[in-house]
Amino acid sequence: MLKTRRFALYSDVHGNVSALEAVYQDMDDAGVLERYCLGDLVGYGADPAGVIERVRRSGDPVVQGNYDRGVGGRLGDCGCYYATEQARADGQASYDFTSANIDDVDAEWLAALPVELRLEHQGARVLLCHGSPRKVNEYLLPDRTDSQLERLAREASAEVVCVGHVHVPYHRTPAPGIHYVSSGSVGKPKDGDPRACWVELVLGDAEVMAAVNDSSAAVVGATGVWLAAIAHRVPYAVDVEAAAMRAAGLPESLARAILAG
Amino acid sequence: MNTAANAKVMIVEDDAELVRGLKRLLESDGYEVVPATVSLHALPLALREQPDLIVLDVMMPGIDGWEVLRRIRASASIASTPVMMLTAKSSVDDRVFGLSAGADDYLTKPFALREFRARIDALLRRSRSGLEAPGIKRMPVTAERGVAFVDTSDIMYIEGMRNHCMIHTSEGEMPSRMSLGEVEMRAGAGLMRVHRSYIVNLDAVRGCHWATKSAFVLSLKDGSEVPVSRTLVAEVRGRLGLC
Repeated sequence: MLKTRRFALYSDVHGNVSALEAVYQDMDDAGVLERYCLGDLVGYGADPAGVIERVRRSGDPVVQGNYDRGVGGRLGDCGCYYATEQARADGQASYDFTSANIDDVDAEWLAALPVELRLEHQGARVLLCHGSPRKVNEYLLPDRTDSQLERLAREASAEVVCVGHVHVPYHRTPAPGIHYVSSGSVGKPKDGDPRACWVELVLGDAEVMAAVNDSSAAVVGATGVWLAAIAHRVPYAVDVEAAAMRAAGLPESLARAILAG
Repeated sequence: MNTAANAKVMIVEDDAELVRGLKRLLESDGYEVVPATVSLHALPLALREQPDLIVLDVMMPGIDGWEVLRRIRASASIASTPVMMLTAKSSVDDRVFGLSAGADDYLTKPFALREFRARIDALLRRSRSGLEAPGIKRMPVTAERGVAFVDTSDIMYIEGMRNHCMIHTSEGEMPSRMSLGEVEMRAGAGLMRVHRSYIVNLDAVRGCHWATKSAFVLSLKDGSEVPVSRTLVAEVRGRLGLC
């Protein structure tokens, strides 16, 4: 009988303390104690320092996101992709606000975060990163082909690749035994659902999987371990958070984005 | 200094599961816990958080525990913070090396949580009794080459900054890496906290007056003036023999 292991992934908090606190509470309620943060604590939201403080105090291992790297290293931008000139201008306003609102200790803390973490569970190799196994700001959007994802996982020597950055939660198996899990976004979802998101991973045997509602649940690599992922959505006062962003002088488009999800 | 019940303990350890376990244990005992799962985070965090005790893992990726310990001992404001090293090694040589490198205690993994807790309590007790007894006679200040010391009798007043303080003497002002809270904690009888941002050498006070109806001000022998918090006016007047 295999030991069952549950752990939580959360990412892309983006300065949103209310969403983060709601997610922590929900994880407590779900009884998931092992937690990993997949980066991008700051940017866009009204309270970057508050988010750093809470994540730091949680003691959860954190991987560095592209925004964390940009602001932590005082690099001048977040390495984000913006589709329009307006989005670029708003993005720069967000970067400047964020950089001005974290002190040097917090910046150093962000800059020293590791770019990846690795876990092992009974032969199953799990890689935790922000963008992709090869690049902190690469978007592994749901339209990536199976063969691309399979190749990336093999190159990274992992059967399970967990990413943040895309702000849309998913679990897919591009090849037998290979899993990709996106942790969605705590503070700035982009899938039309403004509720905060975190993802629970369950590693266990086939029997345990029967109890978990995940059609993508499948075996990991050549092990007997199965993996399922559950996206949890947590309501919080998103209107209050949007008001806080406006009050902080952040661009209106960013406040509207969190209201729309 | 905090009492054992609400002391701040920093845990520098890359094994997240162990951090989680120790954090839960200490928090249930009423300690405040500052976790650092990346060794590079340890020093800047310790400087800002000013923990009462640091638990430090030896084997960590990046800079190891010995290097973190060396940097702690080289940073004036946390140089005397008690440090307990955690390590998988258990030879006598390692223990001796650890203690000679400036660690205050040494615990070999795996350890029983009961032992961990007992040693934390003992270390805090030891450091508390060491600090509270005499009161410092000299204040460390930042000098061109390392640290210099100023006799407390030469001090007029001490001004608290964000995470350090400025020592004002008749000779001029000098920065110290100690926080105002730390100075107060270690100060002898002559130094008194009179304001959120000021500690005054009572022997240097030459006069006092109400600058406005609500602002009580102390004049010091070098001509400088220091405000007194409204809530502390009665106590300060008492210490000056006015009531």
